[in-house]
Amino acid sequence: MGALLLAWAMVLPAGAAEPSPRAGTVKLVKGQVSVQNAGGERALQSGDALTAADRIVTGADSSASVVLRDGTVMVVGPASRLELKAFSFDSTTHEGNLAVSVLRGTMRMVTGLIGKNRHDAVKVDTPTSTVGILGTDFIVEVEDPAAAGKLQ
Amino acid sequence: MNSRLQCTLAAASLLLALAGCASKPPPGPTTRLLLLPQADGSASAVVLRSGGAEQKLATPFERASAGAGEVPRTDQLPPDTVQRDYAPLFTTAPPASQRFVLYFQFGTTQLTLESAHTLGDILDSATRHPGGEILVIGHTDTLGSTELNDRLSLQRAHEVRDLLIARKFPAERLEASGRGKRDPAVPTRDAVAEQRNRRVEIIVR
Repeated sequence: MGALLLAWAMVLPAGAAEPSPRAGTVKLVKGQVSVQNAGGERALQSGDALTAADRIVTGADSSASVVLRDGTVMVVGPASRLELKAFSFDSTTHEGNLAVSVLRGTMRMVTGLIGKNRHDAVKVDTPTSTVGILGTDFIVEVEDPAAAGKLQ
Repeated sequence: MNSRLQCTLAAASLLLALAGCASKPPPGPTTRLLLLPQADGSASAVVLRSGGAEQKLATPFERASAGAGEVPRTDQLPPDTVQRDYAPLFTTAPPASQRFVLYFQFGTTQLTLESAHTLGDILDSATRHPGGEILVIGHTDTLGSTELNDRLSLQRAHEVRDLLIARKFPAERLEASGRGKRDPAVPTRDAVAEQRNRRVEIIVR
């Protein structure tokens, strides 16, 4: 019986979740939106994958939305720069972590499953502040007088 | 010019210099945090931490602002101002997700006839969503161990995922997962056979 159980355990991988490098999927893209990462910079299109360490850059009058694997929605406004610093999600247990930096411009976030049970698993920061999340729907804006094309 | 007048002039120019400093924008970026109402109207809150202080926002359309190293200050914005000033954050939001549930013929991995028809609706919905994805989430009843049910629920999800791939939906936008017995549709005690809990939930987003 013990040997049978051992054989059973060896056939099956630990944990039922599937590994996925995809952190999220790009939904709507309006205007000039690109993604920057170690591989360089390319135009972002609806349906593209977003992965940890990607940076989304939008032009004036441009915007984009992304849904992360846990259902977190991020909408990036015009003249913005946002970095997905870290993302992990176990679709079986719904545990994970998310870290986002808003470097410039605006972002609206509606948090998903990762933040549902553990608020501190979701981290949002800007060059000057950090955001603590106790609810789900909010806007973060970074207005940098040194940067052109800002809102207002 | 007497020394008293000199002194007054010096003080006046110092005041002007100070006023000049105060009217300059703070060096570096300013962060603003704005709480939006929850879609379902439930209570919510966010916190802005800056300059060693913490400002909690618990009223929708309340805003906290702070420059580098500054303590946050708050104000309340009219909802229509927010909708106007941040319009792209509302108009570029993705459409709401759509949910389906598939059932299996008892004791088999065959979908019921009705659920087999639902597959077409799922594919139509995913095509209508920009960058559409299909999440296939398997569930079990509470009979058996957590590990066994995690595996069983994932197997069920894989079967449905394969059917969708066979109908030419791109595999990279399909994700199968198994939630085991964590999310029963019909809550039961542990170790209870319940057919309505042996299902596959589909989320199109």
